[in-house]
Amino acid sequence: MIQRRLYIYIVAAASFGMVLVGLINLGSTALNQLLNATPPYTNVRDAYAGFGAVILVGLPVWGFHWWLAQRFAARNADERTSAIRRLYLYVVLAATGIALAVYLRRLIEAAVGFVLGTSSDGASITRALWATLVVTAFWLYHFRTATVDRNNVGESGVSATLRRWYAYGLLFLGLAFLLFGARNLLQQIWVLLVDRGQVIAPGGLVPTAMATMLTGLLIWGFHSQWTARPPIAQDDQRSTLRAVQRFLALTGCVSLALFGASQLLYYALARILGIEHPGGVTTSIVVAVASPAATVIVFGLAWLWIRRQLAADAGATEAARQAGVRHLYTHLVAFLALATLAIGAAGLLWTLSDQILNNALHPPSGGQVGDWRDKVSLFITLVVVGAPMWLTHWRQSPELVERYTLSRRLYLYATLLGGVLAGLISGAIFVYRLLALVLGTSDAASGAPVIDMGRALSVILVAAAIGLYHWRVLRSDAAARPAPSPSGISSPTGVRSPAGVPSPVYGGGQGGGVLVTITGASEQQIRQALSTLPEGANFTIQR
Amino acid sequence: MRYAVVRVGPLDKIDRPSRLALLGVGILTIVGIAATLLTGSGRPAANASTPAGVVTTYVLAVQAGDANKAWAVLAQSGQPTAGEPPRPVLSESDFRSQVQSTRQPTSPRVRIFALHQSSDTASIQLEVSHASGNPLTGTATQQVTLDLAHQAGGWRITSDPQPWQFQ
Repeated sequence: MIQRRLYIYIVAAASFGMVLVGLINLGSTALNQLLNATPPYTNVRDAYAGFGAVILVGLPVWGFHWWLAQRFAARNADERTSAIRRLYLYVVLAATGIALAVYLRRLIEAAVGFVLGTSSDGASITRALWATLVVTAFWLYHFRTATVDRNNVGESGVSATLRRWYAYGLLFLGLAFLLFGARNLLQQIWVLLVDRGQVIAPGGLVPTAMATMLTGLLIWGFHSQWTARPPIAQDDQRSTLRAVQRFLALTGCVSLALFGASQLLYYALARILGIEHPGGVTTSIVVAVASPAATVIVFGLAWLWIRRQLAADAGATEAARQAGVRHLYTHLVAFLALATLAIGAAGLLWTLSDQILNNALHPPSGGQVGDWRDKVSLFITLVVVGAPMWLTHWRQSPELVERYTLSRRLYLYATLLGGVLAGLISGAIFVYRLLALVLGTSDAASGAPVIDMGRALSVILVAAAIGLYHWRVLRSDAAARPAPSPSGISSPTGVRSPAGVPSPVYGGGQGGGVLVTITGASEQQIRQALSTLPEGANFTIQR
Repeated sequence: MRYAVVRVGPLDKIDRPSRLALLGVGILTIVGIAATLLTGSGRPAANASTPAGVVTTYVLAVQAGDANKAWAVLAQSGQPTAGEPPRPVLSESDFRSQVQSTRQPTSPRVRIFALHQSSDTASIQLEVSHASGNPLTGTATQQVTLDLAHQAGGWRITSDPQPWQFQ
């Protein structure tokens, strides 16, 4: 049975691909000829023959195998619930969904460009329209088939996972299109409004950004609404893929917002230090800040928005999951902020060491003053952006409930690993250049090994500081870890009870009993909470 | 066979952040269209009487795929400077095929960065901004210089025309 299914759906998928490619290209060739546009193929007859053959072979093969698949599905519910069938459907939906995003973007870009007068290529609109129509028709057909299957026999296990891969993958793609398109459009609007230079050709930057944003809105909007409605919403509430998609989006937004903020501060600081063209920008500074400012606005807002979504998702589940999501978010931001801070600190030390050692080894020429000031502005900016972010998100000694979370341990070990690797590589470079200096290699006379050693030492210092600090935190966490009690229940040794609450006493207990300390609740509330214990269970409340 | 109906609910069913996103997209679209239409009017007149006019004619013709119009503003018998190739560097057929075959879906924004002009020669430095896949910047900007000479009552481009730079 499985072999038959595999055969049918593999052949159907391959022949469907042939039909899709053939239809899009055959239509485009015909439209080019009708509109007297420059054909993409040197020989139009070759194109007709090639794509015609692909359709003539692919269409009957796909039609026959798909008919077989539908016939078996109508007869037998097992066939309809089969994971292989769902794999075919969601792979086709994902492929046509991505193709739809590409062609729809092209269509909107060409149409907006035509309307705004930045493009005169009318044939590209009809080509994109044809491709969009073909892909939309196939996508809708497969989407409807998947919905009919779900309504008839349900969707669980592997089938539901396949649907989530499709839904959250497209949701992520749509969100990326939406945010990058909005950022680029805001940037272009800014440039158009503040740039006083004579623009001789506006180009297609505004239509392109607009097309990316609108395509993203459609793809993201549809899948967002689809996954937010019952029964899919309830089914996916505890889905790991859903959370992973949101955390991936959050990571991207936090990174880009931090990058944009760093760039903005860098330009400001560089101008204060008298750098005319910070980072080598040739255009005016008002135009140059368009990109980082747009990045901060769009990705900063997206950051807040996704954070709210994560909180809302967690709010619908139990308290433990809420706390887990909150900790994961906090540690993720702390990690990205620490990376920014570390790069800034190491870069600052590197630049200062370069400057001091170069001045000591060679008389200053005066020509590179702007260069080192430019770098100093950049790295100070990274420190200024990274340090407060890290300090506000990182807690060295949090409550017990946070101290042993997986996300905190991931943060600690990832940071430690980064610090150790950076220290190891820089240490090797330091020793290599030291040996070069001692042995008098060809560049030793120019002082190059000393400069390289200064650079390596800068990285070693920062890596060591970060590594040592986090190693100490790991040790402190390990020391504060509750020791296992004789009854097999952990006792939080070393953890002080809140004032006025007696310290718990652990021991053999009655039948492996548990001693729980509760604060912030009245005795009546505690008794009410414990009233649901199973029959035969006893408890004692001690003040 | 049962037909599945996928309904996208009315706007009031959409959560507040999503409505705000929708509003933001709407505002950006309208402002983008308005800014493009309003700022497009300050373009130099496309004529052969000024170096900026010639460069405007050339760039717009290349972006529209009009090889004849673009070729007409190139100097046909320029005197090459010592050490430089004879101009134009491309033959007419090569130029025509480049203009028509290397068209990109998105044409770049071109603005005059600097203009140096004497009585018979001129040099225009252009800033060309392409859409870029770089997630950090969104655009890639480069500078292109076109040299011009006053010939037969009008200005002509004498340097390598580099049509692909403007497509």
